[in-house]
Amino acid sequence: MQISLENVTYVYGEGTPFEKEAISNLSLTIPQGAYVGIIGQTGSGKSTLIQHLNGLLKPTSGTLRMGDLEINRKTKQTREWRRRVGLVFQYPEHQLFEESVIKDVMYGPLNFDMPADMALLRAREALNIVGLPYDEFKDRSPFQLSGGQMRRVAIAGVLAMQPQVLVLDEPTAGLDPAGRKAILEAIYGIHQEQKLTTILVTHSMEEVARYADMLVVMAGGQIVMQGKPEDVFIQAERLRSLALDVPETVSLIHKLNQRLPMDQQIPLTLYREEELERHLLAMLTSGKGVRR
Amino acid sequence: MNQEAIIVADKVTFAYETDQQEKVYVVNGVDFAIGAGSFVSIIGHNGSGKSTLAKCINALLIPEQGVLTVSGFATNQESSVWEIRCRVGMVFQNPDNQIVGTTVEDDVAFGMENMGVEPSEMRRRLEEALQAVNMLEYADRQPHRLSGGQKQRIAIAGIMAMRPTVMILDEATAMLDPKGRKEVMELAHFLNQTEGITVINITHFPEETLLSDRVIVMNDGKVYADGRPDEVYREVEQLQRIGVDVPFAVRLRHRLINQGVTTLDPVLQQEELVEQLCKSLLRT
Repeated sequence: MQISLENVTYVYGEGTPFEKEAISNLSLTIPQGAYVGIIGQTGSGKSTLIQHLNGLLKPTSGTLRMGDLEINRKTKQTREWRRRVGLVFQYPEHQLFEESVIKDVMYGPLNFDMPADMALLRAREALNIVGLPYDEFKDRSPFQLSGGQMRRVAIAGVLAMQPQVLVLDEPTAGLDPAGRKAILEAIYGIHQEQKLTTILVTHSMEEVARYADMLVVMAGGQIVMQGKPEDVFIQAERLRSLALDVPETVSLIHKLNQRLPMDQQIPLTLYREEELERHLLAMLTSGKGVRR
Repeated sequence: MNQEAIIVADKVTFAYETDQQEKVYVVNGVDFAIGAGSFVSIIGHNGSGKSTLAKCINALLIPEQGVLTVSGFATNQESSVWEIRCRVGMVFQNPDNQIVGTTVEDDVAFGMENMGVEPSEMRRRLEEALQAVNMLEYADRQPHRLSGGQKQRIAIAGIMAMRPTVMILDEATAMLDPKGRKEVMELAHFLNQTEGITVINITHFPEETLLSDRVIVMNDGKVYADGRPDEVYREVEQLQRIGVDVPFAVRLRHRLINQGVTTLDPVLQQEELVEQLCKSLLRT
């Protein structure tokens, strides 16, 4: 499902002394099936943007469109919009509340009037997708699980609603490397399988480098850069000036290219670690400079 | 390093009890001695016992077995708890959960007020601490209007003002953006070097541990590895098997070596890897 924003502005506390424009005249089109990474410093407007994407906030001015639906300042009913867009908040495990894992995952679908047997089926699928086998976990209390498992239950709760667009706000904050990978791989799997449109907000350049096919960089409530990852990463200085950074792979390529002759320059399109590794291996073993 | 030990753990064990009255050992027979003035990083997967261990150090949790001492005060002695808490400051993960004051000044002064520091002395330390974390110009601001990195710096200033001998950062950078992370880590190293504060940094980011004097790897409640970063990160596969990542440069070199490249010496930092790669690639 394609989502587009046209000249969207949002003002917090309109008409009060604390009035603040969080996003300003922002336009963006997210194509159907894209995996978009949104990056930006704390306070850059990322959270305000994604709360618009799932219909939690209505723009002060401007319009959002998705298929036949539209949200503007005057829109009353956003239920159908919210049914199509699933949002996984930061630290979603704080919102678990049911006595068993299965009840918690079924809560969302039931709340959107799905019949109980259907909700159960969806919940079962969703748990398997996030790597928590249904039979093993369904009756356990969510509060007896590890932090990473709790978070996966919360994500399953959103997946069970079968959204067409999935928005994730820092889904891996505070998890260890194995937990981060498990969650992101599960999300990437379902993104591809169900042809979802996925939007990932993160502070980790490594994560967007691995999964995203489009990057949106925010600063001061506006989109300051967007495009394919390699086109964004090439502007390392600009990213640093926005308090951001480039992935380790990109920084390594930059440093190597400064020292290597023209015919050995490494293309920036190799920002994924495995691809860079393959390229370096080929360079090192091609006989060029290496005695074996 | 030949320093006097400031924190000594002697067979420290801690268990939680589940609803079914089963004991789950999260820290299981841990021994170590941390030298005064050192910078130690603790890494390990979620549930490996890192944070529990940290809470044992400042007597928030008392070991079920074994003894943990800070400057000679045992945490299991009721009478020592105050002494320990005055010496060990702790910065937690979520900056919003540890701000108590309505202004930056109030927040930083909170700990000192609890300790009963003289008002004139308090004023002096307040300015000094805010200066140290480079937040003096924010003294009158409301903390909730600051960035995550700024809030963590305020939390650290509050600890500084209490004149601790040990500062524990318990995943203090986990919620911050790259700039905020950098600010907090630079500040921790600065305080370690200039004030001689012993720093214990608990983290999931291996890159953050590279400048430490020592890295302790926890796994299933036990110390799995303990040494200088270059020693610890030699065992790439073993670490990855227990859910611990290694720094990027270490990982990439390791993979290249495993596929038959013989010309790369061990590295820790990215710059070292660049050096090694160029040495090989430009040797024609």
